[in-house]
Amino acid sequence: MVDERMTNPVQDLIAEATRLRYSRRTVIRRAAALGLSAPALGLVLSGTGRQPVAAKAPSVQLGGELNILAGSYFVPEAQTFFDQQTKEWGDQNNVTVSTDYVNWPDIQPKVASAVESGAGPDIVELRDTWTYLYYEQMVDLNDLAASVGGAGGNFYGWAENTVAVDGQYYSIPVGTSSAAFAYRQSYFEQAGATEFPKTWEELFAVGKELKAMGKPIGQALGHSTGDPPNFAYSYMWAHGAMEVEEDGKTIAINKPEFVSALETLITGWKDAFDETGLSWDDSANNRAFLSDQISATINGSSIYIAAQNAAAGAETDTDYEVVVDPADINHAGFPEGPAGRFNVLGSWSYGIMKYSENQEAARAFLEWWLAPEQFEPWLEAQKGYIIPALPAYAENPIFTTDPKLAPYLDVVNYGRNKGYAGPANQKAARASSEYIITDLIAKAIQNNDAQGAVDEAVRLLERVYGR
Amino acid sequence: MAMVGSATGAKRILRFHVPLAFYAVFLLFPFLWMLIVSLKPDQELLDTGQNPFLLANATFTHYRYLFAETDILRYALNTAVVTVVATVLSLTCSVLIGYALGRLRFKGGYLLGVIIFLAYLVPPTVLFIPLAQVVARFNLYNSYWALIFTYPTFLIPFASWLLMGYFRTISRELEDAALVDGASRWQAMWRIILPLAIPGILSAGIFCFTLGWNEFLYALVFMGGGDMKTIPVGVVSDLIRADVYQWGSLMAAGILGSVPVAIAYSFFVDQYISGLTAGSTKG
Repeated sequence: MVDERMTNPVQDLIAEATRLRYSRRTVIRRAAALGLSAPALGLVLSGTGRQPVAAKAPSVQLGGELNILAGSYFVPEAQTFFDQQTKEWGDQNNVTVSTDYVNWPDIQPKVASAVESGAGPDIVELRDTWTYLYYEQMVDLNDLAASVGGAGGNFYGWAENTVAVDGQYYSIPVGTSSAAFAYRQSYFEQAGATEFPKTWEELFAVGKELKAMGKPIGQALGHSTGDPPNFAYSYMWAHGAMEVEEDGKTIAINKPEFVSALETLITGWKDAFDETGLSWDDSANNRAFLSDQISATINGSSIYIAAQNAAAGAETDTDYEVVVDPADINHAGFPEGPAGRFNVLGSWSYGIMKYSENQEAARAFLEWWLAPEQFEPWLEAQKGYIIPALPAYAENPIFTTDPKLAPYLDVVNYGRNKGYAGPANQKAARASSEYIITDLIAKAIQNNDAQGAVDEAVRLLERVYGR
Repeated sequence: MAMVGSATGAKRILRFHVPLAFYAVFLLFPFLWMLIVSLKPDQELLDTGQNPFLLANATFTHYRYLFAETDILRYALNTAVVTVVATVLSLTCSVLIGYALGRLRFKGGYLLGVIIFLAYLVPPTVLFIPLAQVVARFNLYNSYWALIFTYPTFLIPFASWLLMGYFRTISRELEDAALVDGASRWQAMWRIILPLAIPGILSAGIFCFTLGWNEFLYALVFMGGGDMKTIPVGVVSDLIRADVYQWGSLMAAGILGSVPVAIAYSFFVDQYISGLTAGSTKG
C-alpha cells in the first residue's frame, strides 16, 4: 500500500522498480540519481517490499561484545566523541562495545595477525588500498555501501577506487586526512611571493630565496606512509610518468620528461630544500615547521591545528611564547607540472571480519554509525582533519568556515589513487608498501643520478606488476 | 717515589678513568636527554634558539598528563605480571636445558645447543603470524597468558645458550664427587651445581626481564586490547597521534618505564657481570 503523501518521482520509481525487478541496491542507486531524499527513499523501499535504510538503531535484539580496531585519532576530542557514540549504541542494543586505538603504523600488523589467526577485532579500520589485501577474510558489505553511498550522493571516485575490490564493497569508505602545502605567509612575502607558487619550478625558485633567508622548504623522504609518498607520487604524475598505464601492466615510469624533472629536483633540492629531509619521517617535518626551521612543507592540517592549540595554551600561560603564530600559517594545493596537478588520495574504511562471532551486531553498528545523524557530528568533531568520502558532507560548515583549510578539501578535485593510471589494486598496494616511488625520488637526489634511479624503479616495478 | 706514584696515577687516569668517563657519558646521555625532554614545556622543546641541554622552565606537565590521560599504572602492572611470570617460566626451562647441554655428554648435544641458539635468531616479525594462530587456537587473545607463553620463544633460546656456557665453566669434579658419594643426578644438580651457578642464572634472569619488559610486537598483536596493554604498546598508542608525537610525555614514560629495569640491574650488578663474563669467555 503506497502512502498518499508520496510524490510522483517516488511513485514512478516504485513502478519502475517493480516492472524491472530492481534489486534493493539498484533501487537505492536510482533514488540517488533522481535526487530523492532519505525519507523518500524509505518510501520507495517500503513500496517495493524491500527493507528500508535503517538510520536509527535496529529494533532486533542484539547482544554480546563488539571490538573495533582503529588508529589513534589526531583530534583527541573526536576519539572521545566516537567512544561516546559506541557507548550510546551499545547501551541501546545491549552490546558491550570496545575500541582499541593504536598508532597508525601498528594497525596493519594487528589486522594481518587477526586475518591469519581468525581471531581479533570484529570491525577494523583500513587505510588506503588495504581492503585489496584482506577482502577474502571480510564480510560482503555491498548493501550497506549502496545505502550509505546512495544516501550521500555516491562516493567520490577516489574513495570507491581504493575500497571497492572489482566493484565489490568489503569495507565502507569514510574519508581520509589529505595533504596540502603548509607555508609561512610572511616568509614567502619576504621572498617575493605574494601567493603560493603555481608550478613546481616556481616553487623551487622561491625556495632558493627562502633557503638563502635560512628558512628552506622541508620535505620528508624517508620510509613513512604519509608525506614522503604524497610528494613522490604527485611530482611523478605531474611530470607525465606513472607506475603503470591504464591497463595496469605496462610500466610507464621511464619518461624523458620525468627524468628531466628529476634533474631539476636534484638541483632544487640543494638550492631550496632542507637537505636532511632525506631521512625525515612523517613527524620530522611537523617538528621542523613548528620550531621555525622551515618555511613550507607538505602535510595534513595537523601542523595548523597543533599551532592553534599551542597558541591557545600560551594564552593561559604567559611564561611561554608561541614559536610559530598560526595566523602566519596558510595552506595551498600542490603545484602543477607539465602533465597537470596531482595529489595522492585514498580513503580510510571500516569493514567486518568474517571470523567475527557477532557479525550481526557489527553490521548493525556500522549501519547506525554511518547514518548522517551520527556520522556528520563525528566528522565535525574531527575539526576538518578528515575530508569526507561522500560529496553530501563537503557542504558542512566545518570545511568552509576557516578558508585556510579549503585546500585540504580541494584535494578531492585533483587527487588520484596510488597505482594511477592503473587500478588501485593489490599490486599498487604492494608497490606503495615497498616505497618504490618514494625511494626513486630519494635515490635520485642522494646519488645525483636521475636516470639510474628511474632504471632501478623500473626493475622493481616489473617485479611487482610483471613484465 | 712521589714522581713514580703520580706517573702511575696519571697513567691510571688516562687508561682507566678517562675511557670510563667517556663510556659513562656515552651510555647515560640518552637517559639525560629523556629526562630533559620530559621536564621541558612544549614551547621550549620547539624553540631551537635555546640551548637544548638547559632547562629554563622545568615542568611536570608531561608527567601529570601521563598519569591523568593514559592508563600508565595499569600498563605497568600488565608489563610487570607478564615479564615476571615469563621470566620465571623461561629461567626454569633454561636452567634444565642449559644443564643438560652443558653438563651431560650425549650424541648430538652440541648440535642441539647450536639449533637452540639459532632459534633465538629468528626475528619476531617472521614468527608473529604463525604464533598468532597458536594464540587464537588456545583462545588466549588479550590475556596475560598470550604473552607469558609466547615470550619464552625468544627468552628460552637465549637464556639456555647463556646458561649452557656458564654450566660448562663449573668444575666437573665437584659433580662427580657428589655422584660418587651417592647423590642422584638431580641432587647433584640441585645441591652442588645450581648454587655455584647463581651468578649465571641471575644474569640470564636480568636479560630475560629486560627483553620481556621492552618487547613490543607480540604485546601489540597478542594482547594490546582495552586496558590490556604493556607500557611500550600503551604509551605509543596513547601519545602518538597521527604525525604528532607528544615527546615530553613519551620521554616521561620512557624514564618511568626504565626504573624497574634499572632497579633489577642495580641489585644484581656484581653477580650479573660475573655471570656474563664467565658464560661468555669460558664457555
